Formats: sequence, structure tokens, C-alpha cells
Amino acid sequence: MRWNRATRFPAAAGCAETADCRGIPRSVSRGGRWQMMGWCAALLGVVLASIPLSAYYPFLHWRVEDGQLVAMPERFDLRELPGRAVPVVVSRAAALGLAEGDSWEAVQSQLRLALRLWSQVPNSSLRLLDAGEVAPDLGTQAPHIQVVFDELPPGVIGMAGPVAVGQRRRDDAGSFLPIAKSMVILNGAIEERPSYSEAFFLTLMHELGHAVGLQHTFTSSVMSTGVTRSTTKASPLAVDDHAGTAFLYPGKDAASDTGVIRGRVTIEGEPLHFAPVTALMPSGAAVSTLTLPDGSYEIRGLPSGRFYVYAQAAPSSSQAGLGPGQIVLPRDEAGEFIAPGPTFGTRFFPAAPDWKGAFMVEVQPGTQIANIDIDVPRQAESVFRGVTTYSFPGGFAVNPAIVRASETDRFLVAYAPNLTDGERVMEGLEVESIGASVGPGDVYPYPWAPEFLQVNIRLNPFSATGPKSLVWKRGSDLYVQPAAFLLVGQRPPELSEVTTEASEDGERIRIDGTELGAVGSYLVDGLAVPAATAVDSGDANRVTAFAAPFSNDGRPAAVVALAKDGQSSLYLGAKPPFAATRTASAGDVRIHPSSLPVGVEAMLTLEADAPVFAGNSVNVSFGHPGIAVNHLWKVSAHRVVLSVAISGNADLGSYPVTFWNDLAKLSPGAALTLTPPVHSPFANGWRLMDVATDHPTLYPGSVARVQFPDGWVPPGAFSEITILLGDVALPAVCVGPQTCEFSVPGETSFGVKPLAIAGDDASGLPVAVEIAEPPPYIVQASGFSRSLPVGLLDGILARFSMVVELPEVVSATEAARGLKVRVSGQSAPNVQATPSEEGGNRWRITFDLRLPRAAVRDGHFRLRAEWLGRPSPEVLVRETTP
Amino acid sequence: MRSGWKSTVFLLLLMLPAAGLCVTLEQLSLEEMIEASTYIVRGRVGPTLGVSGATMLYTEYELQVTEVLSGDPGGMRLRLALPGGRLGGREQVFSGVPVPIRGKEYVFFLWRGRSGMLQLVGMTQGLLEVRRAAGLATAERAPSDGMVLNRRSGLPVHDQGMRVSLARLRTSVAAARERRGGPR
Repeated sequence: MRWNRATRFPAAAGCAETADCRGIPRSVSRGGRWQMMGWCAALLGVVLASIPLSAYYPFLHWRVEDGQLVAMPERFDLRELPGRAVPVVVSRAAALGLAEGDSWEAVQSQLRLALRLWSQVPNSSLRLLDAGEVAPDLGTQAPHIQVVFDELPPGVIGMAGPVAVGQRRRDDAGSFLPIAKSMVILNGAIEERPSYSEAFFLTLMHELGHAVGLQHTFTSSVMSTGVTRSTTKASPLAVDDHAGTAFLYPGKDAASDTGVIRGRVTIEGEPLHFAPVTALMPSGAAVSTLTLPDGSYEIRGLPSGRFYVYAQAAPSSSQAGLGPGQIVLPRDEAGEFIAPGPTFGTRFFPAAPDWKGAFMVEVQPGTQIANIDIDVPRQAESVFRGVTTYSFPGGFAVNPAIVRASETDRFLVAYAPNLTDGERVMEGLEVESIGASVGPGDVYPYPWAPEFLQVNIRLNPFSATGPKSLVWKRGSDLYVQPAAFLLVGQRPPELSEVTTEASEDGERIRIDGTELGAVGSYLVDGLAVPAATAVDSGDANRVTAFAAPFSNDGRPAAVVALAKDGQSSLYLGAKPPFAATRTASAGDVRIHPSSLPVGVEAMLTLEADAPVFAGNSVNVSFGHPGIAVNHLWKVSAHRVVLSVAISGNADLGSYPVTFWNDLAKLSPGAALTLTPPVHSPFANGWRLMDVATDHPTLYPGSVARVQFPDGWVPPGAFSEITILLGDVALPAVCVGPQTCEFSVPGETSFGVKPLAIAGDDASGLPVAVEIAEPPPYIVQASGFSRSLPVGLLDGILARFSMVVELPEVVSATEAARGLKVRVSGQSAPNVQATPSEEGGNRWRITFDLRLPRAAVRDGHFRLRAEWLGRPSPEVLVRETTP
Repeated sequence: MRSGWKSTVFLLLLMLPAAGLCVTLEQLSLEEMIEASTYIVRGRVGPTLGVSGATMLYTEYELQVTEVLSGDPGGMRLRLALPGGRLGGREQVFSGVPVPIRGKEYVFFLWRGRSGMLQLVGMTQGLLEVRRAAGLATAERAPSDGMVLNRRSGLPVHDQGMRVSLARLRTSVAAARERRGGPR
């Protein structure tokens, strides 16, 4: 991130500065205003890639380089991590205080679930890897996150964040300080917060967010400071969490799949430091940031859509050295904290005191909208210090409030200091909803607890389900609460009976209940099981079943249903039903090879004399953050193949393998010994990919490429280079100083095979490579486009038609679920596939997509289909205009 | 003003790598704080005694005790350990952990765990500043704007801060002692 003084103030005209934009008459309809705004946005759509600024949510450090202010976040350097994943180890430093039915194994299963969710953030390359259980006093040079359950003072649930960072580094995303170690310390007394509860899980997600480098936010996300958090166990991460993570750890398509809004906040014309700025969609999704000392801000990671942009003061911190939301303040050269600017009144872009008078800013993927400047007035601190909403879908409060559209009396209960005096509503208080309605007389003290406020929600014809925002007003004091409540279409899933029963395939868990059709997945402790179709069982009940997971002793495990709309069965019963699990087999396990040098990637095989890998979810770890299991292929219930990466700074020694067979933890005694590094040109650092698809999965008849790292010994140094694929030696042809290619024989069988490289007397360790069916192919494609009218950004609207051949015969449902398309790097949302008239495995896809002009290169679009994560070869489609 | 912020901005330099950590708290009532405390004392903050720790840094403060409200701390000079501090080239800043000011008078709700360190119950919740006005001595703290969860429901809640007269505090502590069946 670099702030360039010379280019910071571009001469581009901005809406905030022009009479044409400011002078939109109030009589213009909303649609007309949007159109006008789009016209303004077209003027503002300036790509300023050369002056990236920063969101404030990371832990930031400052430096002046060559007269430029450089803000550096703390983040892991994924390049130095084995498998480019952040290893997470877990420890018990004290005995746990557990609720009835809870267990250490259940706690660890919830941790694995949390790691998986943080690893699936769209447009982010962050991956958190379970590296196993270690002693609390782990000492290693390998960067990692350590989660410790320990004895903490009463009243302290947890603390988390980076505890050691290294010296400044630089990568494609800019300068940063690499995190060497982050800690998540959780109070081991969790009797009141069992591992299956919403509270435990969301706290775990929150603390892991700190550990990867995120600070608090103000937008109802999991990283919010609490009172306004509105994520749930069924939907734990919000758009703001995605944006913050993608900012620190951008995925390769982050820039093309998301948009950016940037601008400046001033207070009566002067720069305003540490002002929260939020981009809010009418649907309730919000992303926010804080202004830098010069008042500038940048909000990255925005999905496509229209946004209100507003600056809104947050309550100042009661703790020295911290800003609003207890965010650590930056420091000046004397080591003093730079204080936030003064408090101010909320203003929407461009200068509206209310959202109804605001312009909306349209964001398209790959675009950056600049000069969204807001000037705010000085104003005393708001009476609204954050508002918390609750509802009562069962017999107890849940947060955020859930409002059911089909209910006749739709309401939520809100709390903030001084909203009521116990008898009357705060004088002058008004409540509005963006996306729904709150009418006159809809706000009054909640009869059962008058210190709370009851807010009745009305729906309008445009009230779609999803998160909805509230606006709290009193005179000139206005407070926007993004995603203040969740509008849903049905009740939470209710599990009326959960039993474990015998079946031909072994024990299965049978679930009877209501609203099961809306369930996206079930959790058995922390093990996620995709929801199968629920069928009628009479009395409005539905029934479904799935294989009972394995555990060490068949212990009962908590069963929770997570609905797709963010609700869960925990909303109707805080203590979930428990179901017996299957007792896992134990047996001897052999590991091959049993030793590896540090600094390599290699293939490992675990073979057992019993079906110890019978579960649907198998995880392997070695209890050391320097050993990463990049990929696991389950060959059979007796055998798994691993692709492991060993960090160059991993500690030499012997590390016992531990694996999870569903919920069963097994430590069979086999160990992997790390030995000193080997110096072979083929030992590590090279990458293997299919030439046509750039994907590491190969297929019979394909041509594969081996890409050697910088500084590799040139191929000319060897008389020949041979690829050993299983038992077959294949000649490689070197086509460049660091690139060799080879053909995979057409008769090669499917499966995971060892692949090694040899040249003269040197050879490398075998890595695991998957030989699979061919990838999808685009067999026909066309694209028509036209420039968008002024007002819809500088872009094009394109219609694509393509026929894709899949490697297997699938149903329409499977095709819809597994087939994706990217155009010039940008994903096409909501792709619909219909069987092609040519039959077979061919599917016709037609879709419209708005793209930036830069998506057309040399007159062509670049199209790629993706089937279950495997891309097709790229196809160039000439742009045709009508 | 503009030239002011510019000069400030351009004087910014990279300081010691100061790592920031965040604390999530569980809301405790006064009664729960009393119950959870090993000792409750009133006193002034003395000098910082040092910073220690391999991974997590703890700063130790000397407490000069003037009144023991509960427990027997075994002396009138205690060592209070709080997460955070600066040691060598490292600094850790914890949000949610109070920084007591030397010379100020506080009521401390102290807890001694397995490590032997004396820490604050509920971090910010366990440090009440003593204020005297119009003949009334109170112990109080501002609301925390960090992450505070309800103890039983786990739901996020608004911390209200605390303000209690020293007289009422002594009464509450005595009542708790009585409930527990004698001096602690």
C-alpha cells in the first residue's frame, strides 16, 4: 500500500465537486436518481491502481519511504508457509471445564470447522490448516497460529492476535510485516459455552480473525465489536469479513471479481482521521473501513451492486491508545498514538444528512470508483452507542433478531442505553428500515421489559428475505445499523427426534423434525454433513437420515441443523439433541516413507491393517506447524495418500502421525522423521500443471508442464531429464530455461500416483499427482457485446452462448451445482445450464454479464468453464458487436 | 489544520513492531466479581516492576495497598500482572486490558490462578478508579466498548460500566463473605 502525494489528488471531476451532480432535483424519482448517479459514477470511474490505500482493519504500521507514506499490515507471508497454508496447532494448558455431553474431541471438531470456514472466503487465498495438537510451550521458528485452552481470569473469554511479527517484506500486494506467531487463548472453562453453542463457535471465529490479522469492524460482521454483530453459526462470516480477509490475502481473481470505492472524509473541509466509512447495500450487506490520517479511505472487496456510502462516528474508546471499537491507533515518530478526529454527524455521499437523500454508487467487478468524498459536520457524540437487536423464535432471546415474513406480528426488540426511560420512548426517536418499513406507532417500550424497545416491522413489495438495516434518528443525530435484523421466510429448523438406527450400510442418524427442507447442512459436533432430501413423515414433519459419523467410543454427539437462511435448530432449543456415533476401528498404521528432509514437497502413504479411514472426513496431522498436509486422497478405508509440504525452517525430529476419522482421533504410533535438507535440483520448488488447463490434475493423453523456480539449474546442465510417473519413465522436453514438458500416456490408469523428476545422477522425491478423467471442454462459444449507455460505468454488456462437454454424465441439478464459468477472469454468477441438443454430456449455457472494457483484450474475451473445481482449457472468443 | 496533519503524517515512522491483540470479555455483575476474586484491595499503583514472558508479554505493576476488602494477600505491596508491554524489540498492545496509571487510587478485584500471577478479574471490569467528591468516595469505571458477552446466553451485550460507593462495596463484600461462611 503506497500513498503517493504527487498523485493523491487527481484532477478528475467528482460528483461532490460539480454542480451537475449536486443539483439533482428532489423530484427526480429514485430510478431517475440512480440513473443520474450512474452518469456521475461514469465520470468518477477512474482506475487508480497505482495508489492503493488501506483498509484500517488490519493491525497497521507506518513508514515513510522516499517521501511517501506506506501503511503496512501485519499478515502471514503465505509464500514461506508449507503448502501456502497457515498452520494452526491446538493445545490444552489446563483441564477443561465442560458441559454435560461435551468433550475435548468435540471442541477440536468445532475448531476444524472454523478453520475450514476461514479457508473458504471468496476471493481470498487464505487457508488455515489443522496441524494437530502440540504442547502448550511449543517453540519453533515455523510461523503458525496456536490455539490454547488455558486458565484465564474469571470474566475473560479469550484473547487473540499476532504476538510476534518480523521485519518488513514486500510482495505483489505491497509492503507488510510477516506474522511469525499468532495466539488464540481461550478460557478452558466452557461449561456455560459448550462447544456446540453459537456463542462458543462465533467467539472462536472472531478470535481466529484476529489471529490472521483482522481488527474490529462496525458492520455487523463476525469481527464486529459485539453489540452490533449479526452473524450466526449457520452463516458466520459476512461480506465485511470476506472483504477484510481478501484485502490481507487476496485470491488471484480478487481484483477482477470485486470492486473498490475510495474517497476522502473531511470535517468542515479539513481531513478527518479514523472516521468509519461504510458502503451499504439496500440488502443490508456492508463493508467498512476507517480513514487514514489524511482523511482518505478505500473500501475494497465490494460485490457487484449499488451502495450507499456514509461516514458515521463510532463511540470513542475508554482505553488509552485505542480508537473506536478498541482498534489500536497508529503512532507518530515519537511513539505517541495519533488521536482520532473529533466526533461528527453522519453524512451520506455526497452530502446528505439522511439516506433518503443520498446518491447510490454503483460498483462493478474489476472497477474502482474514486472521489466518493464526504464532508461531515462537527457534532457531539451520538446518543446511539450501537444498538443490539433480539428476537424470540423459541423461548429465549437470539441475536441478531430474526423476523419471519409470514408472521402477522413481526417485531424485534432493541437495546441501547437511553432508548427508553422504562416508560416512554426516547423523546424525538425515529426508526426507519432500509429494505423494510417501520411505521408511525411501531416503536414503543417492550411490554415485558420496558428498558428494551419493541420495533414492529412492516414489509413493502420489495422486501426480499435477507439482512435488513435500521436507521435510528433523533434530531440531527443519525445512526445506521447495517444488517440489524434478518428477514426470513420460515421458522428455524426444529429437531423433534434424533435417533441412531441400524441400516444395511451401518448405523445411521435419523432426524425427524420441521423445516428440514431449508437445512443446508447438519453438524454432528463440529462435523458438517450435507443435508439430504427430507421426506414427509406426516403431521407436517419431515424425516431425513445420514450415516452416523465415527468416534472413538460411539459416544453421543450433539446434532444441530443449520438452515440456509442463517437460522439454526439452536434457536428453538439451546441444548441440542445428542445421537450415538459409530465406534471407529483401531489398528496399526504404516507410514511410507517414514522420513523426509525439510524443505520438500512429497508423497506419503498411510496403510492400516484395519478400516481406520472408513469415515467420510479424514484429516491427518503431525503435530508440527512446519508439516502441512496439502491434499489427502482416500484410496480405501485402509489406505490414504498424502501430499505433504515440509517447511524449510521445520525443526528436525520425529513427529507422530495423528488422524481424525470423522470424530475419532487416532494416534497409531507411526511417526514421520524430519531430516536435514537435501540439495537436489529436483527436490523442491517446482510446480506441475496441465498445459491446457493450468491445473495440477493430469489426465491420460494430456501434456504436462514442470515449472522450475527462479535460479534453477538450466536444463542444458543435464543430458536428459526424465519424469517417473509411477513405474513409467517418460522423457521430458525442455522448452525454456525453467520449463520442461512431458506427455502423459493415453493408457495411464486413473488414480493418485507418485511422480518424480530425474536428470543424470540427480533425482527428487516423488510427489503425489492425480490422474483423472479429462477436464470439461468448451466445444462452442460466442459472445455479443454492446457498450453500456452513459450512466452504467465505462463497461460493456455481453451475452455469451457456449456448449460445454463434461467428463461424465450428470443430472441437471448436478450440472447447475458443479458447473461454473469465468469470462476474462471474472466469474459469471447464476449460470444456468440446459442439456445441449447434441446430447451426450454436452450442456448449453447462455448468460449475460456486465464487464469492464478491460475484459476485452485484442478483441477477444477469454472463457473458461469449471467443473467441480477443474478448469477447462481457455478459449478465446472474438468480441462481436451488433 | 491541513498543514498540521501533513506534518504529523510525514513524521510517521515505523515503530517497534507493536502487535495488537484483542480480548473478549464476559459481563460480570458486582456480586459475581466479588465471588470470583481471590483478593479485593484498595490502593495506589506504584512503579512498573518489569515485563516478562516468552510468547505473551505481561507487565507487572506494584500495588501499594491501603485497604484489604477481601482475602488475605499476605502483605501491603502486591504485584499485579497485566497482558501487554514492551520487551526488547517487541511490544504487545491488548485492547480490553486496562493500563493502570501510576499514583492513581483504584479498587482492584484480583485473582490468582495456577500460574501464581495476580491478575484482574474480568480485565477492565476488575479495575475501578476511586473518586472522591462532596464527601462521597466511589469506585467506578467507564463502559467497555470492546467485545463483551453475556455470561449465560453468550449473546453480545452493552457494558454499562460501574459506579459504586466504597461504603456499598464494603457492605457487598461483607455480605458475600457471610454467605460463604466466614472470612476468606
